[in-house]
Amino acid sequence: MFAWYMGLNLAQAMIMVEVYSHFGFNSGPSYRIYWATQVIVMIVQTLASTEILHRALEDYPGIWELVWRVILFAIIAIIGYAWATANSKDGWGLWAVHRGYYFTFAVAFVLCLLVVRHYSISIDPVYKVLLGGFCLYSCGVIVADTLVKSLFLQNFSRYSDVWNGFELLLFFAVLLVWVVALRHPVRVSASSQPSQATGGAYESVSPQVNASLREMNDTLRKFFGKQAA
Amino acid sequence: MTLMLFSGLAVLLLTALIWALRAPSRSSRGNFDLNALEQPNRRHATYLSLVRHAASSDDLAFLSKRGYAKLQSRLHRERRKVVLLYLDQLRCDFEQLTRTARAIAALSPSVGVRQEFQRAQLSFEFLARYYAIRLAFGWGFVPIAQLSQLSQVVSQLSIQMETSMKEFGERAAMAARTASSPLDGNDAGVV
Repeated sequence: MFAWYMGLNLAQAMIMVEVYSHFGFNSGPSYRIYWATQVIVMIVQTLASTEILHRALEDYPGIWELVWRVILFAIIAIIGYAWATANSKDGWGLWAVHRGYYFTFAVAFVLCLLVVRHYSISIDPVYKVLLGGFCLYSCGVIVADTLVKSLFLQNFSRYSDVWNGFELLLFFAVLLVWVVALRHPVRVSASSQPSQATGGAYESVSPQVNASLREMNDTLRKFFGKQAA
Repeated sequence: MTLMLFSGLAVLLLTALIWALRAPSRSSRGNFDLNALEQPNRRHATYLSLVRHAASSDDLAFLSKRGYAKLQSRLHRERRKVVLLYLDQLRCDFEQLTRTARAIAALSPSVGVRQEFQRAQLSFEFLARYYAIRLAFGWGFVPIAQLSQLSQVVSQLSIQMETSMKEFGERAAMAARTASSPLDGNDAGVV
């Protein structure tokens, strides 16, 4: 899916070069074609990053269960926000949705990564860089989308150049980091024997923890019993 | 204004991202520290009755009545130290338990969202009480009732953990049974 995302980004860039040279940057068709292709890129970005996170958490199905719920909630929030804002009268509806998407994306994936950290799960550095790149790019887009409206409202004539340049620079920076990260092989998952590993860890840990907890509980129960008496 | 707001949010998200992607410290990496579970000094909640006694004002009142003012103030100071030490160790107990709970959840094939939320709520409750008690100590109070409540939170968590470990064990046993079955399609029963 990540390869699809990269391919689609490239294809979108090539299509837009043709469209802009044919119709011009500020024309209606350019605007419609850009947003139509952008929606596809955004959907594929979500799928690609979800797939990366799934791969990273392959050995932790319980945590993946928690994490996909966060992503699902984010998707519902994006759809709801898009529904409410896309038809706004001031002509900035699509920009608001675009920014809303990247904002929700960044919040959802940063939350997922925080959940992963909370459970002290060590994920492969390659996955970390890929997910971090997506989040970094999303944060940049949030700023760029806000900046473009601000510049337009201040009657700055080259607002579109600033927006284009900022996003392009950011994308190339993220791309560079991804290229460097993908030169290293991804660690092989230990999920080939999941049940044995899980059962083994449980069997060794559980009796010790249980004994400690039971002792703690018994003492507290005795104390509270005495207090009640 | 909007630019400032969204830039601030982006910076906040980036900070959280950097923190989340930071490599976990050696002590908090996914593996269990089995030796820590066997440490004899980890069940500090068991000393609650002694600490309750140490924090009671009866002995101090007795010394005051007898006219040992210096001894009374020294005893008061020493006992405060003991209670604060107990409080810190109780927090260590709690952190140890939550660490183990997180490790078990990470290894578990299925994690209950409600259970995890409950645990987070319990942790928040514990920390709020912990800091409230420390603050009260700073102002010269000895909130023994709150101290008992704090110990109860640790106890609650241990009960919750025991339940999740039981479920976890049942699932692991079921998985082991399925894996060792001759009818599991892994050619185990074929000669």
